[in-house]
Amino acid sequence: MKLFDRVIIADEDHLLRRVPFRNPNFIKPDGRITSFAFKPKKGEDGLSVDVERLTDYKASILNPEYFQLYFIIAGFASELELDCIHSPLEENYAHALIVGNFTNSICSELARSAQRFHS
Amino acid sequence: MTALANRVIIGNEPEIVPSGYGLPDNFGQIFRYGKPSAFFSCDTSSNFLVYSSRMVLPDNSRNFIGRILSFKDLPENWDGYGAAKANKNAVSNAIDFIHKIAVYDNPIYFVAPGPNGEILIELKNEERSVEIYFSDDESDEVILIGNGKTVFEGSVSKDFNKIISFISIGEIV
Repeated sequence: MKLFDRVIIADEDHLLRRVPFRNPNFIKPDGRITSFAFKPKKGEDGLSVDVERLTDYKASILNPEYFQLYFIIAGFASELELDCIHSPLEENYAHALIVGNFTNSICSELARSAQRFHS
Repeated sequence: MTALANRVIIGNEPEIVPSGYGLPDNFGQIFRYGKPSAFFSCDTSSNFLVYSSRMVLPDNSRNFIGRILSFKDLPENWDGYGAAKANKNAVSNAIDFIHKIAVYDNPIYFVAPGPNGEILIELKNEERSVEIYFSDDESDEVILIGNGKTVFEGSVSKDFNKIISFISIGEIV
Protein backbone atom coordinates (compact mmCIF):
# COMPACT_ATOMS: atom_id res chain seq x y z
CA MET A 1 0.00 0.00 0.00
CA LYS A 2 1.59 3.24 -1.10
CA LEU A 3 1.30 6.22 1.18
CA PHE A 4 -0.83 8.35 -1.08
CA ASP A 5 -2.89 5.67 -2.78
CA ARG A 6 -6.43 6.78 -2.11
CA VAL A 7 -9.36 4.48 -1.61
CA ILE A 8 -12.98 5.10 -2.36
CA ILE A 9 -15.01 5.22 0.83
CA ALA A 10 -18.04 2.99 0.46
CA ASP A 11 -21.43 3.58 2.06
CA GLU A 12 -20.90 0.61 4.35
CA ASP A 13 -17.50 1.80 5.61
CA HIS A 14 -17.16 2.54 9.30
CA LEU A 15 -15.55 5.91 10.10
CA LEU A 16 -13.85 6.11 13.50
CA ARG A 17 -13.75 9.18 15.71
CA ARG A 18 -12.05 9.60 19.07
CA VAL A 19 -14.38 10.79 21.84
CA PRO A 20 -13.00 12.14 25.16
CA PHE A 21 -14.58 10.68 28.29
CA ARG A 22 -12.71 12.31 31.17
CA ASN A 23 -12.51 16.10 31.37
CA PRO A 24 -14.28 17.08 29.30
CA ASN A 25 -16.58 14.10 29.03
CA PHE A 26 -18.47 13.80 25.73
CA ILE A 27 -20.33 10.67 26.80
CA LYS A 28 -23.68 11.29 28.46
CA PRO A 29 -24.99 9.25 31.39
CA ASP A 30 -27.23 7.23 29.03
CA GLY A 31 -24.23 6.29 26.84
CA ARG A 32 -25.04 8.63 23.96
CA ILE A 33 -22.40 11.11 22.89
CA THR A 34 -22.61 14.85 22.47
CA SER A 35 -22.88 16.44 19.04
CA PHE A 36 -19.58 18.24 19.67
CA ALA A 37 -17.83 14.92 19.09
CA PHE A 38 -18.71 15.37 15.41
CA LYS A 39 -18.16 19.09 15.03
CA PRO A 40 -15.06 20.31 13.18
CA LYS A 41 -13.08 23.33 14.24
CA LYS A 42 -13.66 26.54 12.27
CA GLY A 43 -11.31 26.82 9.31
CA GLU A 44 -10.69 23.10 9.03
CA ASP A 45 -11.20 21.33 5.74
CA GLY A 46 -13.56 18.82 7.31
CA LEU A 47 -14.06 16.44 10.19
CA SER A 48 -11.12 14.09 10.73
CA VAL A 49 -11.94 10.39 11.02
CA ASP A 50 -10.17 7.11 10.37
CA VAL A 51 -11.44 4.48 7.94
CA GLU A 52 -11.81 1.36 10.07
CA ARG A 53 -10.67 -1.14 7.41
CA LEU A 54 -7.41 0.79 6.94
CA THR A 55 -6.41 0.94 10.61
CA ASP A 56 -6.79 -0.85 13.92
CA TYR A 57 -8.09 0.03 17.34
CA LYS A 58 -4.72 0.75 18.91
CA ALA A 59 -3.50 3.02 16.15
CA SER A 60 -6.73 4.96 15.96
CA ILE A 61 -7.47 5.57 19.62
CA LEU A 62 -4.05 7.13 20.39
CA ASN A 63 -4.71 7.34 24.14
CA PRO A 64 -7.25 4.91 25.67
CA GLU A 65 -6.88 6.67 29.03
CA TYR A 66 -8.54 9.73 27.59
CA PHE A 67 -10.56 8.60 24.54
CA GLN A 68 -13.10 6.02 23.51
CA LEU A 69 -13.63 5.15 19.86
CA TYR A 70 -16.99 5.55 18.14
CA PHE A 71 -17.94 4.96 14.54
CA ILE A 72 -20.52 6.26 12.14
CA ILE A 73 -21.52 4.60 8.88
CA ALA A 74 -20.32 6.51 5.82
CA GLY A 75 -23.65 6.05 4.06
CA PHE A 76 -25.44 7.89 6.87
CA ALA A 77 -23.11 10.89 6.45
CA SER A 78 -23.94 10.84 2.74
CA GLU A 79 -27.66 10.91 3.58
CA LEU A 80 -26.96 14.16 5.44
CA GLU A 81 -25.34 15.52 2.24
CA LEU A 82 -21.82 15.19 3.62
CA ASP A 83 -18.96 13.77 1.54
CA CYS A 84 -16.44 11.26 2.88
CA ILE A 85 -12.99 11.56 1.32
CA HIS A 86 -9.93 9.45 2.03
CA SER A 87 -7.18 11.91 2.93
CA PRO A 88 -4.11 9.97 4.06
CA LEU A 89 -1.52 11.64 6.23
CA GLU A 90 2.12 10.73 6.45
CA GLU A 91 1.60 9.43 9.98
CA ASN A 92 -1.90 8.03 9.41
CA TYR A 93 -2.84 6.34 6.15
CA ALA A 94 -6.38 5.67 7.38
CA HIS A 95 -7.18 9.36 7.81
CA ALA A 96 -10.26 10.66 6.02
CA LEU A 97 -12.28 13.84 6.01
CA ILE A 98 -16.01 14.28 6.20
CA VAL A 99 -16.79 17.53 4.42
CA GLY A 100 -19.92 19.61 4.03
CA ASN A 101 -22.13 21.91 6.04
CA PHE A 102 -21.72 20.98 9.70
CA THR A 103 -24.65 22.72 11.36
CA ASN A 104 -25.30 21.90 15.01
CA SER A 105 -28.31 19.91 13.84
CA ILE A 106 -26.20 17.82 11.45
CA CYS A 107 -23.58 17.21 14.14
CA SER A 108 -26.35 16.16 16.51
CA GLU A 109 -27.68 13.66 13.94
CA LEU A 110 -24.21 12.19 13.44
CA ALA A 111 -23.76 11.83 17.20
CA ARG A 112 -27.12 10.12 17.58
CA SER A 113 -26.09 7.57 14.95
CA ALA A 114 -22.66 6.85 16.43
CA GLN A 115 -21.87 3.47 17.94
CA ARG A 116 -19.08 2.41 20.25
CA PHE A 117 -16.12 0.66 18.60
CA HIS A 118 -14.44 -1.87 20.85
CA SER A 119 -11.00 -3.33 20.55
CA MET B 1 -52.06 30.79 48.09
CA THR B 2 -53.23 32.91 45.21
CA ALA B 3 -51.33 32.47 41.98
CA LEU B 4 -49.15 35.41 41.06
CA ALA B 5 -48.25 36.81 37.72
CA ASN B 6 -45.17 35.03 36.43
CA ARG B 7 -43.11 38.09 35.75
CA VAL B 8 -42.53 41.49 37.19
CA ILE B 9 -40.96 43.72 34.58
CA ILE B 10 -38.55 46.38 35.76
CA GLY B 11 -37.13 48.81 33.26
CA ASN B 12 -38.83 47.26 30.28
CA GLU B 13 -42.22 47.18 28.62
CA PRO B 14 -44.67 44.82 30.34
CA GLU B 15 -45.53 41.68 28.45
CA ILE B 16 -47.92 38.79 28.90
CA VAL B 17 -46.19 35.59 29.87
CA PRO B 18 -47.98 32.23 29.99
CA SER B 19 -48.19 30.58 33.38
CA GLY B 20 -47.39 26.98 34.15
CA TYR B 21 -44.62 24.87 32.56
CA GLY B 22 -43.21 23.99 35.94
CA LEU B 23 -43.10 27.47 37.47
CA PRO B 24 -44.82 27.19 40.86
CA ASP B 25 -47.99 29.25 41.19
CA ASN B 26 -46.60 31.19 44.10
CA PHE B 27 -43.36 32.04 42.33
CA GLY B 28 -42.64 34.72 39.82
CA GLN B 29 -39.56 35.96 38.07
CA ILE B 30 -38.23 39.48 38.13
CA PHE B 31 -36.75 40.80 34.93
CA ARG B 32 -34.48 43.79 34.56
CA TYR B 33 -34.05 45.08 31.05
CA GLY B 34 -35.16 41.78 29.60
CA LYS B 35 -32.88 39.57 31.67
CA PRO B 36 -33.98 37.51 34.68
CA SER B 37 -32.52 38.96 37.85
CA ALA B 38 -34.38 37.31 40.73
CA PHE B 39 -37.38 35.28 41.81
CA PHE B 40 -40.18 36.40 44.07
CA SER B 41 -42.82 34.71 46.14
CA CYS B 42 -45.44 35.96 48.56
CA ASP B 43 -46.58 34.94 52.00
CA THR B 44 -50.16 34.44 53.12
CA SER B 45 -50.52 38.19 53.65
CA SER B 46 -49.52 38.79 50.03
CA ASN B 47 -46.27 40.41 51.11
CA PHE B 48 -43.65 40.01 48.42
CA LEU B 49 -40.54 38.11 49.32
CA VAL B 50 -37.78 38.62 46.80
CA TYR B 51 -35.01 36.09 46.35
CA SER B 52 -31.81 36.45 44.45
CA SER B 53 -31.75 33.83 41.71
CA ARG B 54 -28.42 32.63 43.08
CA MET B 55 -29.98 32.01 46.49
CA VAL B 56 -32.53 29.58 45.06
CA LEU B 57 -30.28 27.84 42.58
CA PRO B 58 -30.64 24.05 43.04
CA ASP B 59 -27.61 21.84 43.65
CA ASN B 60 -27.94 20.36 40.16
CA SER B 61 -27.66 23.79 38.58
CA ARG B 62 -24.71 24.79 40.75
CA ASN B 63 -22.90 21.58 39.87
CA PHE B 64 -23.30 22.22 36.15
CA ILE B 65 -22.15 25.82 36.54
CA GLY B 66 -19.02 24.47 38.22
CA ARG B 67 -18.43 22.13 35.29
CA ILE B 68 -18.89 24.92 32.76
CA LEU B 69 -16.44 27.13 34.65
CA SER B 70 -13.94 24.27 34.66
CA PHE B 71 -14.00 24.23 30.84
CA LYS B 72 -12.16 27.56 30.89
CA ASP B 73 -9.14 25.74 32.31
CA LEU B 74 -8.88 23.19 29.50
CA PRO B 75 -5.66 23.43 27.51
CA GLU B 76 -5.65 24.16 23.80
CA ASN B 77 -6.17 21.00 21.72
CA TRP B 78 -7.90 19.25 24.61
CA ASP B 79 -9.75 16.91 22.19
CA GLY B 80 -6.71 15.84 20.17
CA TYR B 81 -8.24 17.47 17.08
CA GLY B 82 -7.18 21.07 17.75
CA ALA B 83 -10.05 22.32 19.95
CA ALA B 84 -9.97 25.85 21.33
CA LYS B 85 -10.42 26.88 24.95
CA ALA B 86 -13.95 27.63 26.13
CA ASN B 87 -14.95 31.15 25.12
CA LYS B 88 -15.76 33.54 27.98
CA ASN B 89 -18.88 34.92 26.26
CA ALA B 90 -20.22 31.43 25.67
CA VAL B 91 -19.47 30.48 29.28
CA SER B 92 -21.19 33.61 30.60
CA ASN B 93 -24.30 33.15 28.44
CA ALA B 94 -24.56 29.48 29.35
CA ILE B 95 -24.43 30.31 33.06
CA ASP B 96 -27.05 33.05 32.57
CA PHE B 97 -29.28 30.45 30.96
CA ILE B 98 -28.87 28.08 33.90
CA HIS B 99 -29.99 30.90 36.22
CA LYS B 100 -32.92 31.65 33.95
CA ILE B 101 -34.13 28.07 33.80
CA ALA B 102 -33.43 27.19 37.44
CA VAL B 103 -36.95 28.01 38.64
CA TYR B 104 -38.51 25.51 36.24
CA ASP B 105 -38.65 21.88 37.20
CA ASN B 106 -36.39 20.73 34.37
CA PRO B 107 -33.01 19.57 35.58
CA ILE B 108 -30.09 20.06 33.29
CA TYR B 109 -28.83 16.73 31.98
CA PHE B 110 -25.46 17.42 30.40
CA VAL B 111 -22.99 20.17 29.54
CA ALA B 112 -19.98 20.10 27.22
CA PRO B 113 -17.43 22.43 25.61
CA GLY B 114 -17.21 22.61 21.82
CA PRO B 115 -14.18 22.64 19.53
CA ASN B 116 -14.58 26.35 18.78
CA GLY B 117 -15.08 27.48 22.38
CA GLU B 118 -18.84 26.93 22.36
CA ILE B 119 -20.83 25.57 25.30
CA LEU B 120 -23.64 23.03 25.02
CA ILE B 121 -26.37 22.62 27.63
CA GLU B 122 -28.73 19.68 27.29
CA LEU B 123 -32.08 19.27 29.04
CA LYS B 124 -33.74 15.86 29.09
CA ASN B 125 -37.12 14.48 30.06
CA GLU B 126 -37.85 10.87 29.12
CA GLU B 127 -37.55 10.64 25.29
CA ARG B 128 -37.40 14.42 24.82
CA SER B 129 -34.24 16.47 24.92
CA VAL B 130 -33.26 20.04 24.19
CA GLU B 131 -29.78 21.00 23.01
CA ILE B 132 -28.82 24.64 23.57
CA TYR B 133 -25.64 25.91 21.93
CA PHE B 134 -23.89 29.10 23.08
CA SER B 135 -21.34 30.37 20.59
CA ASP B 136 -18.30 32.59 20.97
CA ASP B 137 -20.03 35.31 18.91
CA GLU B 138 -22.86 35.67 21.48
CA SER B 139 -25.33 33.82 19.25
CA ASP B 140 -27.24 30.79 20.43
CA GLU B 141 -29.17 27.94 18.87
CA VAL B 142 -31.77 25.55 20.20
CA ILE B 143 -32.63 22.08 18.89
CA LEU B 144 -35.66 20.21 20.23
CA ILE B 145 -35.39 16.43 19.85
CA GLY B 146 -38.20 13.93 20.36
CA ASN B 147 -37.68 10.18 20.10
CA GLY B 148 -34.30 10.71 18.47
CA LYS B 149 -35.59 13.08 15.78
CA THR B 150 -35.10 16.82 15.46
CA VAL B 151 -38.54 18.42 15.72
CA PHE B 152 -37.70 22.12 15.98
CA GLU B 153 -34.74 24.50 15.62
CA GLY B 154 -34.65 28.05 16.94
CA SER B 155 -32.96 30.37 19.43
CA VAL B 156 -33.12 30.95 23.18
CA SER B 157 -34.30 34.54 22.89
CA LYS B 158 -37.16 33.80 20.50
CA ASP B 159 -38.13 30.35 21.64
CA PHE B 160 -37.66 30.19 25.41
CA ASN B 161 -41.30 29.27 26.01
CA LYS B 162 -41.04 26.51 23.40
CA ILE B 163 -38.05 25.06 25.24
CA ILE B 164 -39.94 24.96 28.52
CA SER B 165 -43.22 23.66 27.09
CA PHE B 166 -41.53 20.97 25.00
CA ILE B 167 -39.32 19.59 27.74
CA SER B 168 -42.10 19.81 30.34
CA ILE B 169 -45.17 18.55 28.54
CA GLY B 170 -43.98 17.55 25.06
CA GLU B 171 -45.76 20.32 23.23
CA ILE B 172 -44.23 23.14 21.25
CA VAL B 173 -46.25 26.18 22.27
